[in-house]
Amino acid sequence: MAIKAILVINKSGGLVYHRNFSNEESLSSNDYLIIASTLHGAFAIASQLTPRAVQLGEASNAVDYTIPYIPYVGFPRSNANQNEKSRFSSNNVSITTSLGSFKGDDYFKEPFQSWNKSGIRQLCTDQFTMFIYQTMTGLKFIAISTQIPANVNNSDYPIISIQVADNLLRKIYCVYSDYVMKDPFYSMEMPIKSELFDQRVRQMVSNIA
Amino acid sequence: MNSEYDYLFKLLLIGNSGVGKSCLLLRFSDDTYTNDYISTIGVDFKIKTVELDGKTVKLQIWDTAGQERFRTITSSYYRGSHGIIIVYDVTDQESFNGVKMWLQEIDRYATSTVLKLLVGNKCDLEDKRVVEYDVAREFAEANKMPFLETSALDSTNVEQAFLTMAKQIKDSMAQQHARDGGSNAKDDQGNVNLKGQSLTNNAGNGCC
Amino acid sequence: MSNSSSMPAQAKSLKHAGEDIWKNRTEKVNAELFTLTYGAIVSQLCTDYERNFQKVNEQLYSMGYNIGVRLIEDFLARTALPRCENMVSTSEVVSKCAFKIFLNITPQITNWSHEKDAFSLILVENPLSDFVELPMDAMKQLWYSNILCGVLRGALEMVQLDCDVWFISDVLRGDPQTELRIKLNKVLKDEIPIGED
Repeated sequence: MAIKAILVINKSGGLVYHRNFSNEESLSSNDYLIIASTLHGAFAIASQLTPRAVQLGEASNAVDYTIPYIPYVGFPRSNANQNEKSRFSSNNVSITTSLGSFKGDDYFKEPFQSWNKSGIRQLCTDQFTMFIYQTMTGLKFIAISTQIPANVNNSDYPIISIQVADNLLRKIYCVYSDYVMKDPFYSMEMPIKSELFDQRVRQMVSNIA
Repeated sequence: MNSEYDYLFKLLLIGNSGVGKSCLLLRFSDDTYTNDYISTIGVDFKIKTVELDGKTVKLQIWDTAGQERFRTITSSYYRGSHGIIIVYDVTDQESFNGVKMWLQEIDRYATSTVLKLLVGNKCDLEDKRVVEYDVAREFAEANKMPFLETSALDSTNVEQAFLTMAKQIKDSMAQQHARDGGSNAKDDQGNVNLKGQSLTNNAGNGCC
Repeated sequence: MSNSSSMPAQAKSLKHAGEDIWKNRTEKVNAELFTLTYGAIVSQLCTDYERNFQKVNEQLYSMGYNIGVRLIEDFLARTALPRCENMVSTSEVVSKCAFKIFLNITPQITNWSHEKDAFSLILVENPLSDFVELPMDAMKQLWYSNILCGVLRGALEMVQLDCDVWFISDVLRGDPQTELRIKLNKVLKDEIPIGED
């Protein structure tokens, strides 16, 4: 999965972070601001669109919002392929020390619930796929992927990729909770200027082949 | 990364349909976008970049549709606004009467500390004027908000009003920080201190 | 422990989750450094406010609030817990997860209001005040650990629970126990992120 961009949108619909990973930078910062706020609005509309029948009917009880844990998303592939035991060896000190306040060799180890139940979680077009992870506090973490599903009828592909995306975006949330929230000079709801945050996001995304 | 600017302020433009909200903005924003998002999600965006005390500030103005059909998601547009500009048309009494309704919306959806500004538009049409300057000014004073009139011919007023608002927002951020947290503190008898303003409506944007 | 364990299974898993995160998932700092840092702040505030302890309480609360609105993101990123359905489950999460993860204590939940919208936390241990004895002039006025009230207030507000949080008693003042009260004013329904329903 090639990630083309990562965005973070605050609860007011303002873009507070964007990082483009493709070589051509075609959009201005104003374009990004407008995309983010439009998405914020579209997300709200999508939530309204979620049919009442689905929300109220028996089907809603059957919906499972659990996201499976996928080990080592965003870590170097060589490490991810090693078995768990060897990851605790001294060779991996750099990995363990890079997790900020998170102890161990991964940010979390268990399946988790999605807070986003009626908004957009995944948006597929012919050009890109977009994934949205919304937190209980109203933050939106967004990954935009260039990879086009070879065959949209192949149900395996999107399911796997949204799970990887959710794992990745929760990890970016973990990094945010450290390097943005714990920076005493960061102004809440304002653009993120933290190099440390940016570095870690870039590192994680580059590790996703 | 957002290295080009230090602050992002959310300003909301509201008022009845047809009072000239969008025209007002066109004259103000230098980085004008003509893309019409309004028809899609009920809001259009204009962005103006200004320098304040050596910091680069982006004023993102959310230009809402005055129409009813977008009511349901209105609250998400009000949320976290730093400033709100209410516009009416000096030649349209209905639009001035509507200001009261807009103020109620603000009370309901926006933070209690949000900065407000009342703008009477189209003041060049003096022969068609039905809302007198003094009436509007008194109304604005009673509701503790600055007031100005503007027209298509003269945008300096608007420019000044926006910049003043931006400066007030920036100045208030540092102060709000301390005030917010302390306002609901208990006194030593454990009673609620009711003097401070409610934190409730300040969720999110009160911290700096 | 309390009359609140209407969902014993869930409460047990919360306890387990809290302990696991504390033990295996969170980096620690030296507890003495933490206690001393907090002590230095309180004592400095007492000096700065010329022993106006009411002002010190307010300032601690305010500092706590500003911590709480940030710390909630750490808590949610770490636990990914679903939204609580009522204050009873909120109390369990606060005690068994939040206090456990950040302070390694599990306060007792007690004294529920009739409407189940207010409860007390009894802090049997308080890492903030391990070595503290209040000076005579502060005994009746200073809430030494008032920062905790602000943290809870700020954190709960960010998950759309408008609560009042205050100390009722403190062993530092000679009270038999340290009791912290949390009262829900209202759920900020308009603030709940769209998409959660």
